Amino acid sequence: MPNKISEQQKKQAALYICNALSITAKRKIEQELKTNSELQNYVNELKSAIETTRSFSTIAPSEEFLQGSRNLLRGKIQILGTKKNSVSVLSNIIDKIKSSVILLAKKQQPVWAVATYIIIGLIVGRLLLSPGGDKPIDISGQEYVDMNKLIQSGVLSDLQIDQSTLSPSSIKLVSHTDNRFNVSGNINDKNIRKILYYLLLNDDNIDNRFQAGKQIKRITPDSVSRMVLISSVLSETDQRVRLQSMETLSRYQSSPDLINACKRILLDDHNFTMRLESLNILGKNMSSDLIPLLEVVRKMDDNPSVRDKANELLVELQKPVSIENNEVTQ
Amino acid sequence: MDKTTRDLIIKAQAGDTESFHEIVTIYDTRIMTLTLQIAQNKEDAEDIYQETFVKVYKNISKFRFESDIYTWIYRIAINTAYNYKRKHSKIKVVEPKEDNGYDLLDWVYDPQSNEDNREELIMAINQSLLKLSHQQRTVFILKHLQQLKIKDIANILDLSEGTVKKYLFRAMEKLRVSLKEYHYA
Repeated sequence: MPNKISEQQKKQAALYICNALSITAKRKIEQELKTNSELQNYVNELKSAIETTRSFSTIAPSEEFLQGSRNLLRGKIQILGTKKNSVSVLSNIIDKIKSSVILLAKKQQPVWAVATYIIIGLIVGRLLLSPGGDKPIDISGQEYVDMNKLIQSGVLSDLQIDQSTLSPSSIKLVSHTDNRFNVSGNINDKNIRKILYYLLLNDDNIDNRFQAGKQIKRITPDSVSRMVLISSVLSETDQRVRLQSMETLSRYQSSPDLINACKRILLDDHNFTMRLESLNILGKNMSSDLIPLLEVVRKMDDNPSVRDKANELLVELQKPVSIENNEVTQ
Repeated sequence: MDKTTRDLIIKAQAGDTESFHEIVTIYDTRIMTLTLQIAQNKEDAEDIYQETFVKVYKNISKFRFESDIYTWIYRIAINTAYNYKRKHSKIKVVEPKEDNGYDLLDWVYDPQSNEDNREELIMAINQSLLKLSHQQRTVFILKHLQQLKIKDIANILDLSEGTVKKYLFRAMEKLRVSLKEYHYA
């Protein structure tokens, strides 16, 4: 007759499997297991259920999926970092103004005096938040420009590229609300670049983002501009801006980040032109590890042009290497 | 926690975003695996991943080194996952996939096994996991799929070790019964 097992024994058996029993309790259940066949079955069933669940639920994200997520996160953090700095400085200023107002209120000043203080405060505030004196500011060529100060001053929020003065190597940026701020300089100047990157990733106006992307196309590629453009293609909501960034990226040298971004776009982007462009970039950096991805795209992409392009790349990848090419000239 | 991780956290707390991204790279495979196990589809899992690390970034200055950073990140991830589930109510069971030859998420795949049985088993496992309560499922995932210690699970979920053991036993017992019906246990 099989032995019966109690609820307590079941609990102990479960904890035994989880390696969560004290040494004494573990010895006790091991002793029981030697003689109690019902308990043995119970333990085996538990182990089997866990093993089965584990083997079918252990999902390892692929490296490309993970890299795509990291790139997207990078873009979000960059935007957050900028906002965080602006907010913290502004809240400090607000706190100071608040405490000054409280101080003034406590002293029971006459109304005219309080009004004067407020006006003085506003003027001082304006001067503090403005980037400089009355003359135009040219930040190009300066060793260090505090971008946070510029962002806080608000001039970057309505900055535009002066189309009338554009030349192959120079650029002029003007602020519509603050006519003292007009930055001009070489397109490759690091400060000009910083502003263009900011505009491309943060400006609320789509046209401004598009114009900034257009200018970034003209600058000499480097790793920073590549990262900015990758952030743009992964996080931009406007198709025109995204496509432009993608076209610019197609002129860049290959890098793991770029390849991962292209793989991500190929799988996730709703715009087929983006997917085609990413295939073009991947096509310049062919390797056999692309085969599974291309197979999926060839079979599953909604767009026939994308499927054809994937097929074309697959054929090229699977083409046998010509012996003639490998022959050593005698 | 090793010194390098500690240094990275201190730098991230001081606003160094590169150090923050290094921290992400150390822990994000485990976190993405966890969110995939909870959400069971990659779109939701990625949203939860993004939301988790944005919260980690926003709150890293509040991390006081009183626990290991990974338990702190796990706690954020689990809270985020269940809040996300509540908000979106679209976390769904994985449907059997059409045979497309490749799986982008590299699900464990045994070509020897019978495909029909495999799909049926996956459905059965998912259904069984969905029968568990929210706490039982979380504890089960953390213990048996993420291989964490009971002490760490208690810390992450802010529960006593006794309560964790209770949930774990209930979860295991329910799974045993459910999977026995399919003759796999």
